Amino acid sequence: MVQQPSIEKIRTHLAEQFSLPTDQIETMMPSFIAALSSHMQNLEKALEQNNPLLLGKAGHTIKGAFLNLGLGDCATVAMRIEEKGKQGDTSIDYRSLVEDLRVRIKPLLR
Amino acid sequence: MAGKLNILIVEDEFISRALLKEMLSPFGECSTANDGAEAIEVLHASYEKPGGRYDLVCLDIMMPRVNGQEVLQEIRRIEQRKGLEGKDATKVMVVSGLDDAQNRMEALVVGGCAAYLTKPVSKQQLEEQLRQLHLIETSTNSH
Repeated sequence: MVQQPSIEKIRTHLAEQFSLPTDQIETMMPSFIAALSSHMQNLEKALEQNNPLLLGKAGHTIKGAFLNLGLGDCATVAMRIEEKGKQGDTSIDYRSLVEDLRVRIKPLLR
Repeated sequence: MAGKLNILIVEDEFISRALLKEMLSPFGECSTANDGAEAIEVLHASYEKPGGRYDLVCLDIMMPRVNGQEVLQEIRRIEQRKGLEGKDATKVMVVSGLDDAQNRMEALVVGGCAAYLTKPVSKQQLEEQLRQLHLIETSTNSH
């Protein structure tokens, strides 16, 4: 069962990790979610190009975003894409990993 | 170091850039560069402008066009030409998602960065690092 992240979990993380006040979090949240959506699109583009190195770079970028938002489970999946992609590994089912991420973050992008 | 800092944040990822700016803003004026190539342009201009030099450069490593290691080397090349070495060199704090030994060693030993932090970096970690680099006073309280 995939654990889906929530906006509330991100709010709590931003407050605890970065000492951000509530109103600042509310101001920043829409742009953070938009950035996450953009990173996901880049990952999917890299997947369609069937290019492990591009997948590695896109995986690295979205991993950083997930870590900043406190989404450790998502970051773990992204890190696998990053590591295998950078190695140029073509034996990995990248499509499943990207699909896994898409399912996990779907509630955030509504 | 007394007074407000002049800080350059070099980071291609929007969320990391926004959070670093938010955390560092209480300590000074924060400028941003969205990749290494933009950073090099901004840095060249800063060395030419009287009083324009940065007290701190927060630098990501893995970025499109020009990576952080190349930016760091360019900073040192400019400073070598200008005779700015040792304590006069710009303090560079690497903030990267890459935590491998090769990148750490290259940044610390070859590039002479003052600190290498691995993402995600909390506000507490960041402030502690600023204190260790003597960029803020021990008693500074930004809250």
